[in-house]
Amino acid sequence: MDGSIFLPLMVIIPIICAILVNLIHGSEKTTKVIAVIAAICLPIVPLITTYSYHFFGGYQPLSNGGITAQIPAALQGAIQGSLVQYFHPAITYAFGPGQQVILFVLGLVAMCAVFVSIAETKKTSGVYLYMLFMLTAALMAFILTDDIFNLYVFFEIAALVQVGLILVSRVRGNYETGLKYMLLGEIGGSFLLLGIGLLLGLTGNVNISDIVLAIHTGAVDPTNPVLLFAAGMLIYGWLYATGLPPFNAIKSEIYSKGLPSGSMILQSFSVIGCIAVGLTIIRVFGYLPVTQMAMLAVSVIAMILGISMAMVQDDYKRIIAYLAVGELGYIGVGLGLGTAYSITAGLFQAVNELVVTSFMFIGFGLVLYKTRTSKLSNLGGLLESMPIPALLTILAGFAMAGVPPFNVFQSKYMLVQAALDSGLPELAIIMIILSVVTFLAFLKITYAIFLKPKPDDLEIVSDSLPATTVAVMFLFFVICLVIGLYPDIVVGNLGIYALSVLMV
Amino acid sequence: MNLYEKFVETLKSAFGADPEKTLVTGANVSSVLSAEIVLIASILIAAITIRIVSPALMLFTVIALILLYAYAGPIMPRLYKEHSDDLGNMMYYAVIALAIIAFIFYWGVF
Repeated sequence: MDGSIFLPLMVIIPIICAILVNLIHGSEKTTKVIAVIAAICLPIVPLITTYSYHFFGGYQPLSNGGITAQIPAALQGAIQGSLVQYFHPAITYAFGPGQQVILFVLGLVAMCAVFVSIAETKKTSGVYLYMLFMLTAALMAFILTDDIFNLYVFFEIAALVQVGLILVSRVRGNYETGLKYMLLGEIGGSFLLLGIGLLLGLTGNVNISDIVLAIHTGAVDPTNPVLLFAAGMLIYGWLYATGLPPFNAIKSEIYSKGLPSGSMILQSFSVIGCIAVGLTIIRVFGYLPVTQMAMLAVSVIAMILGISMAMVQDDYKRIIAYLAVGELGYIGVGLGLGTAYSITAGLFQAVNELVVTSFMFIGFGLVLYKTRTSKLSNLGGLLESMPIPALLTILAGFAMAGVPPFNVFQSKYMLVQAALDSGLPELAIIMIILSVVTFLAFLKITYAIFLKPKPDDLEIVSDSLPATTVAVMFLFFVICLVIGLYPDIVVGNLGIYALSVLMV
Repeated sequence: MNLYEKFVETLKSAFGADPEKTLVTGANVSSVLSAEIVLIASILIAAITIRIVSPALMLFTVIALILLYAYAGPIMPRLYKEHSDDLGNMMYYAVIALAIIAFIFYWGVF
């Protein structure tokens, strides 16, 4: 069987499942069964799909065999030899080795988020699961699509679903945070759309490969001020999607207002948004040195601000949220350096970030489950009541800080190497210093939650921890360890993706 | 009053409502102090990358940053206040960033 037929299913399965679980949310057992089956499919489908393109409606470029409608002979003569024959007349999805790795890991994270959600809630909510699946579908589409407007549509769907995930979390202040995120999204999303509109106006196209072709063949003047302005707007949209400054404060706030399963998917949006929009910018505007400089500058600021701010928080959810934002800066540095090696390192960091941050959100979610508080000053002595999850959470922190032999060590090592190769040892030094400080911030949380004597007024819930959640933590631990010990199982594939981004 | 006590006083005013009564633990002070040192060190190291554009500009920027810090430090408590969850602050910085990006990309590329 031709595995390419599964390509659109990576987006269609979560969408159909989202609709189903929402429709039948009254029947809890059926909702759970459908959700579990669909969740298991999420990481499996990318593995069985063959590397290919999917042309929606079957509309391929004319150079590929073309559309089935008959074109008058005179028109065909004009098209032959022109750029038009290479243009994509419909939405195109591209699936290669790099996309496979990213979508597999994303599928695993989404699957675990669904499992954790079902395990930790007394009554399974079809509406909540709807949002988890819908956001997953949008993120899958981010990676697959070669159409910048299609990317934007899923981007907006994802942004709305994120607000929904915050609104249903029942964490204090969630409504206000949701409203603030929507208002800031109005700014970030609108200017991203403006950038896309300007590109469409200049190139007459929304397919990313076609836009790149039009610019690099001189069909569009690469120095056109409108084009440059579009680059600026896309960079601004990238900042919003990723949660880099000036949107880092709202991103860290929304992470802290989500349930652990929701926060896993919310941070996945930031990571996937960072690489999807970032790679689009590199493909289209990679010829402008200012683009790379802007990406690098903002990423470095994000790393410094995120990790510094994490040190001064008294709420562990905020600390993890700020650390997650800071770690996104590492991905931005990889993309901003703009070489094949650095982009590979950035993508590798993104894959690791998906796993490690989810690992941490679940681990600390268990602390919240046992204590109902996230203030460090109110916590202590939890090592005794949850020794194995505590140990796993500590290991997750080690992984995030880049301690060997875990996966993030390998990606940060590659990023440092990429900075040195690019003649920017300063960046390498900053990345090393900030990794050390990440470790320090994590030691602070570890001491305050697990090692400090238990405060007299702290009430620990006697319920046993959900076995599913602990099993998911083990799974993430194994992934961190395996990728850390055998990085080549993902780096090779990501390297091919990075090279394809730089090819015109 | 030595430098450490001055630093603790600044922390009290930044993190607590009542500077006289607020207890600042050793862990908090060391966290903020670490963040302060990291912030300054990282910004100064990052400023050295300006050497790619112009060594003279790099020297000027680094000296300006050091003088600015001597005048405005400690920065972390201020940054903590500025980095609040206030929508007004977030909007302000979002608009400032937009203006900077629009300026750089429209007029500063070539």
